[in-house]
Amino acid sequence: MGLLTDPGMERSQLPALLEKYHRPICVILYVVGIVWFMALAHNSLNHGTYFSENALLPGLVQGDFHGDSQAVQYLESLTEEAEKHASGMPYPWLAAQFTQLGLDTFTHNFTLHYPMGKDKIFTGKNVYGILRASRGSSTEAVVAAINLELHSSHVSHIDVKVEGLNGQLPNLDLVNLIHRLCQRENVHHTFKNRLQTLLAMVASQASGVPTGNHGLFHRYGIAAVTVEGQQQQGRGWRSVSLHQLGRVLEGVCRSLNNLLERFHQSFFFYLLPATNRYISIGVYMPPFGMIAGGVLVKALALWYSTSCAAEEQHQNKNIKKKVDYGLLGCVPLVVLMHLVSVAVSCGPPMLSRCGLIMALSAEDSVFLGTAAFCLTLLVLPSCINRYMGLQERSWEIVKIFAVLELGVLLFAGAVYNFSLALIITIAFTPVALITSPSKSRMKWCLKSLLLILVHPLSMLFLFVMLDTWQNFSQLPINKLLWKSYIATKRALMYSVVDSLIYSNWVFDVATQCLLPVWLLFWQIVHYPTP
Amino acid sequence: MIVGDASQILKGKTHTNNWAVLVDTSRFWFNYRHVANVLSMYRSVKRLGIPDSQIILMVADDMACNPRNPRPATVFNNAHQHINVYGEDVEVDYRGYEVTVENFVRLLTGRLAPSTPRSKRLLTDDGSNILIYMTGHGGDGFLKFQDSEEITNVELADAFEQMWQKKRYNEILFIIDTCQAASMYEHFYSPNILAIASSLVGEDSLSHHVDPAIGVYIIDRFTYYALEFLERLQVCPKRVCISTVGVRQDLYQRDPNDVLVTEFFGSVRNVELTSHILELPKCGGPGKVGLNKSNSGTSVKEKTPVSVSYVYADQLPIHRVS
Repeated sequence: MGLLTDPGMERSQLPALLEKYHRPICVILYVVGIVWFMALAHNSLNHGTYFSENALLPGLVQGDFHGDSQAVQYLESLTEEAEKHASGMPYPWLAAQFTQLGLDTFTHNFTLHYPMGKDKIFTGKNVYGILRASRGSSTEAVVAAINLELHSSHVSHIDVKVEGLNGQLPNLDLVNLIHRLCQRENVHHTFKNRLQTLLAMVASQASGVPTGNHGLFHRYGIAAVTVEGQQQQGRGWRSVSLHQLGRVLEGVCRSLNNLLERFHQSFFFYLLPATNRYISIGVYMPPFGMIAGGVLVKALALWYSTSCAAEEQHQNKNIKKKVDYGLLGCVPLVVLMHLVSVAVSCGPPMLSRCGLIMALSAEDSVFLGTAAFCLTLLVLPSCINRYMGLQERSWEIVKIFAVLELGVLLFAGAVYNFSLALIITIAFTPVALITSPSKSRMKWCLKSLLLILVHPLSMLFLFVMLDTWQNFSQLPINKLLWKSYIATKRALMYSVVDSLIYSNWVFDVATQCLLPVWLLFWQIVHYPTP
Repeated sequence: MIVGDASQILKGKTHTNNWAVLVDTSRFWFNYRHVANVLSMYRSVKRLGIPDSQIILMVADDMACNPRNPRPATVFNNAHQHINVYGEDVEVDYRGYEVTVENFVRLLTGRLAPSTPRSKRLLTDDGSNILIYMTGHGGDGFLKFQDSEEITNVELADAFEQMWQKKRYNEILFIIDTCQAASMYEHFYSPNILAIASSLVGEDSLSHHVDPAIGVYIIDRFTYYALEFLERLQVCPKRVCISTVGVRQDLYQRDPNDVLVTEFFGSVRNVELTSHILELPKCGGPGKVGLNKSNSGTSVKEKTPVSVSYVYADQLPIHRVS
């Protein structure tokens, strides 16, 4: 302990003050941080979007797209062709059409080994054509991708979707380009198409699930967005003609064609409160730092108080019952929690196979198995208390471990998927502040209840319920709960499959990083009181 | 033109030959306008009589052959596409990656490798008036060359001083169209330099208009109105230029009001004097210049009047630039 303790600490006033006032400081940081973050949606705190990339020259060139009637013809013949191939996609027809247009056409086979349940193998083909620039140097590279989702030829407005895998975003210049060209062609364009746009973006980014097929391109350094044609009936929605849409796409292509290098000038980390406003990483990180800063303040205060207690114990030889303030003593407990969490994380493929024996669907077996495992873990503290003899060890040291691990998760996670880190921070900071063993039965119950609420699995359920309630607000409560339960099962399954196939990190973060911290907190609340 | 006034016209004229150095320092398709600027200026000085052999044209990118150009092999300086400034006889002396700070300074100071061809040399002497026109992207105290380097105002001032010490010029008219252009002449300290900048320090120089058919900004404001000035003698006022045009004349020893535009944009023509009288053919009036048939004619019926009226033929044949 002596080696790690700053000898100047006792003389300095600051740590003592921090220790004394850390509770109000943490509360103020937390509240001010949240209010500040919410306030970022206000126009005086965020900024108007602009183009950083000079080469784009958005909308300067006169469009000459007149292929809207041709597009309708193509659609008609495609549906006709698709009816003939009821079983699958009309690959030869697509390839033939591309060749007829003069594109370099290729077919690309793919196979997917489905990791859950029975060993299912999916196969398929991608047909793609490349339009070569006739006077170019033939050194083309893919710098951007636009994914079109048009459900019918009647479009009221288009929604621009940006969030990709693990919350990765396309360069802001590409997003601005699409909005600018929509504005130019009088196409009604939205982002999220909802109130509370900022929060909607945080929620969808946190899931780590891409909002469209564009989301899988980002990890290859290709800026990509999905442009979805929405159908909204009613007043205030003019309909968008295929001609207008075509001109928007032509403008996008011609601007992208002007690029000399990959998108790199504008932001990759941002939040959008509107189609023409943005909050850059430099603006949203300070409030985040405030919200999450409480965790670090708590760790410091704990470190100082345990150092003082250890010092006092060292000097005062009369104390009969000594408490061990050593760091090494906690290592077995911390390692155990991580091992258990890894087991939860690796369970789903095995659970789905076991479920087959009991004739359960993969969805059911994964959810029920994981939930059962997590419920079992709730009694872990009583086993540990019986066999590990924690009475003579300090719970504060365990908490320092847990809080610091949480801090690392939050701050490192904020750089990777900000929204996910933000949600975890908002949920876990209060928990990190209040977790401690308590003698009062009442307090003990309250703390346990709060901990159960922020368990990764219950957080998933709560978020799914919130989403279900937003979409089906008229449902009675019992139906809502049932629907949420079904949706939670599906969400868990999706996050497992996404993690295995697309390497979405959310499931792994929740099980391998968040769950051990939670288990340590749970252990602390159920710490044997001397 | 009256012969008696010739001495008055030539009063103050101190040079014996004219040169022009025209530089576009930026590349890439979105900088089309800079290439259009410099080619328009090239066309103007050529039209006013400086021959190609005395124009050094530096163009950092080939817009005419850019695959993005919907009108291949042309560069226009106006959305009406009246004038293809990349016409039939454009002689680019330094092209593409040859346009570097080093080459530019070597060109001005004459410190070139012995093998350098004549077309890449500025063969000026102490009787030369040089028009130096530069365009590109700049900032406070520098002008960017290509995308990799820049020339500072101090380097440029030192290059001019070296030219002066080496007696490489009589007078220089320095024109620059870039953002914060006035910063580029701040440090000049050599005599006989008249400097004009498209904008003051802290100001941007702006583009003039877009050609929607080509899809780029096609020319910068200052150059657009400078060209208009050369055609109509009308300066670029702030109302149209938006940026304030800066002029530095303290190094220039003559009153700029007495200096003719042609002293920099035009060319000195060599005049040879003869001691014996030439018998000019008889003319029927202006536009009817021709050989009198009487010398070789068959009938000498018409009697030549005693008072012979002579007219001057068009002295400066206009060089046609399509």
